[in-house]
Amino acid sequence: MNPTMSEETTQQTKDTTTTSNPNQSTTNSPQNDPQIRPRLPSRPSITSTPLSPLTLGTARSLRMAAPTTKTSFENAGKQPTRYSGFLDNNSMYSSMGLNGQSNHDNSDMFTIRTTPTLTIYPAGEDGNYNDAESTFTDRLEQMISRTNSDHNQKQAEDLFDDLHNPVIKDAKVFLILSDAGKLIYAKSSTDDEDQEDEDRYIGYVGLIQTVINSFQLDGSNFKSLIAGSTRLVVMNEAPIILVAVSKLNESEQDLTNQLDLLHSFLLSTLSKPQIIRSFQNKHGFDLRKHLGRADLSGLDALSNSLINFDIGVLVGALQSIRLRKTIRSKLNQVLLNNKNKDILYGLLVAPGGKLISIMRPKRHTLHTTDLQVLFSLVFNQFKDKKNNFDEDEELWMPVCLSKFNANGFLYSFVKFVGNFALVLIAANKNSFFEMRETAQNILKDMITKDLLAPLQEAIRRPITTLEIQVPLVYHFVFKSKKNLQYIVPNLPNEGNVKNLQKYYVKLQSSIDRTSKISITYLKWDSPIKSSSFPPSNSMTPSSSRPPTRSQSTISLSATLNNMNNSDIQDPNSISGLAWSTPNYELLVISSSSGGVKKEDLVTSARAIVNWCRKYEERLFVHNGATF
Amino acid sequence: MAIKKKTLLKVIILGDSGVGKTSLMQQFVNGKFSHQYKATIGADFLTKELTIDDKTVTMQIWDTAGQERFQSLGVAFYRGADCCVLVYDVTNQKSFDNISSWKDEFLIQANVKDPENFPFVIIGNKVDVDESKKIVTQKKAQQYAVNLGNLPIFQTSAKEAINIDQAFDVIARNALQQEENEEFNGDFDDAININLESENQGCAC
Repeated sequence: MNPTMSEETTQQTKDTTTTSNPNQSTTNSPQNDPQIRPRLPSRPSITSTPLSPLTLGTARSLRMAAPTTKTSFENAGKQPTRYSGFLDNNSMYSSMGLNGQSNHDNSDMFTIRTTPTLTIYPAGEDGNYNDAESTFTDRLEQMISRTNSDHNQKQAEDLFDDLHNPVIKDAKVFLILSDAGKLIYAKSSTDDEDQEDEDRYIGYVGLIQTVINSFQLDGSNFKSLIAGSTRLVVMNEAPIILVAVSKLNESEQDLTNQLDLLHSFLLSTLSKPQIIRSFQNKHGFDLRKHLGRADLSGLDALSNSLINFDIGVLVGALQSIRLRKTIRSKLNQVLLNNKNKDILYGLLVAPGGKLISIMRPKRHTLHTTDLQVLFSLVFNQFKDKKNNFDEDEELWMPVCLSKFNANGFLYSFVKFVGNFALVLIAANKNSFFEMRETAQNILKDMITKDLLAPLQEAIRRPITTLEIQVPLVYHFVFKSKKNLQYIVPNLPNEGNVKNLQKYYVKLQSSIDRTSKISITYLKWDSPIKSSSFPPSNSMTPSSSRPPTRSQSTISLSATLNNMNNSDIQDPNSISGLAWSTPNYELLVISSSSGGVKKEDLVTSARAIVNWCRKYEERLFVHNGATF
Repeated sequence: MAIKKKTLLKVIILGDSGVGKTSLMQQFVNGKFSHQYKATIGADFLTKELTIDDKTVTMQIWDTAGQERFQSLGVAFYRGADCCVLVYDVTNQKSFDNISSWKDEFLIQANVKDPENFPFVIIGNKVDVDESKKIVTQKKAQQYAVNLGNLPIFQTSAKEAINIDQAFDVIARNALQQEENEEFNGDFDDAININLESENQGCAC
């Protein structure tokens, strides 16, 4: 018996079951529980305290203000008592400019002390540096929010011209760098064939590293900044630093979660000790030397899915596949009957990382982030060029599931069957042949018990808003907090969920995490571009849809017409509802001319909740097969 | 194993205020010289791609401020550098005398594992000036470089673009050599020791 394991797994259980929502919960911090030693945080927990709308432009004036903005610094040790109030609100969010103020006696707030300053070649010719304190913010501002000042540059025959520093104009960027300021990975939302992201961003990383370190020298942590519509969030996992830049109105928490997922992915191939060791002998180590083609394409796939909007990451849950209860229990039985002694976890997963079934030890569950990383690995790294999965192929790969244990590897056997994957996870790296045999037996049993066909059918058959009879609802996300799983209906006419990102991001962040029940109604009055919503006539039921009751069709077609017309003549306005209780979280988006009233949307939302609760056992994997 | 990527070289430029660190970098990267003196505040970053033999490298040049008041950026800056360039002004004796303290400062701050073999390159800048103004002679400087550990030394002019490419070629080669040594050679054999059987006694269901 390994005592370490017991501690780790107890914590895991807490992460995924006791904590109803690891995204926002701050109550289960390891420090509160003497049984559990501190370990990697389940997910960085920053409360939903609204961030101060601090922009770089106003940072200078804020510097003079009394310390009442929502700003705090993480160095509890060095905190003067007068700042204790900031720590309480847990908005661990460091703003520019105020830094100097908190650490020095603010006798002269206009003089920058030493650290938060970087070279600026001002556009003006006089080279006046009396205003040196502004240079830091100016430079960052230039870096982030300057978009089309080409004409200004031409005028200035200045060194500034030649800096050639690309300006971040991408809607979204992920950067991974070492704390020596060397770029490890870059991915932006722009697909520029002429210039790779790495080349475009290589000039930034030194600056970013310096900014981060300047704050560290002052004993604080630089977490995030907002410049206009751009938010930059930093996750310091020294010796690795991860940075997200987004113009998509995502919250700091959203971006932190995304960085956490990227970091977990990096750990999944390298593990924490490997990374630490790599930099131990040499600070300037180039971590890319450890990243193979598969690792980079995996990072690309994951970054792209985050850039293209991943609902699962937004709500911190896995999507589940709807299955009849009898099928579920048969599947569980098949898994359990074939369990061998080396298996830690067994998973059936549909493309897109949708959970079908899980076999696990009674007291251990896997963290959502670990599963998201694992599923991303399984589906993105091992498909061929035609996006097909080879049924003859069997994979045996070491994976570090960092929330489970960042210090070592587990071993995964992966086999594709039709359109889903069977994943068996073992701790013993020599158990490939046992795992293969088990997998073969599981598949054999599934065939014997006629489980393959219903499974394939379930994967193909989406949930639709028609069967729930909520015609006002365009799309929704229902998350079961207990199971940490969510469902979404299919989008009409192959619509792209990316178009809903703006609304879901806003709805999700509108939830008041401090109260048990939170209902928010939002309405977007500004008409959206016609391209951002697919034509609504696509709501015509597709052939694979299960039969719906006819009574719903009348009201439905009325709405459809309504939506159709308004699509052409007068763009629909969007309304949304975010509804959170201790058991579930529901985000609803509705589109119609004039908008949908709150009461009507609440009625629809209630119908969805009732439906989801009624079919709960069909929609979600409950305990899975436990042993 | 890993795919071929352009090697990243981190190069730090140090030296007293006004010796021409920024000008050297600008001349090297952009082929330009500005007569105006603008003090560097904190640091500046420029990158340049080079081919050394058949290897493409990206040189990431960290230009630091010579002024004392910015020195606290130290550790953050120096960490993980692959080469350190020490610059003095041939018309300024003090800047020359300070070369060795800049070197020491770097070694302390950067926490270099093998200080004996860490690559430094010395540059005496502003050789375009009148002979009468030159205070630090080439001979004196060369002897000094030998004493400091046989460091390569170059007499350059950022203004006239004298010797710049030669100096940076040596800088890049030395940096590349530094970057390539001390390769990591640990194994990836950290299996997690798990014994489920003993942990779940009596849980057969």
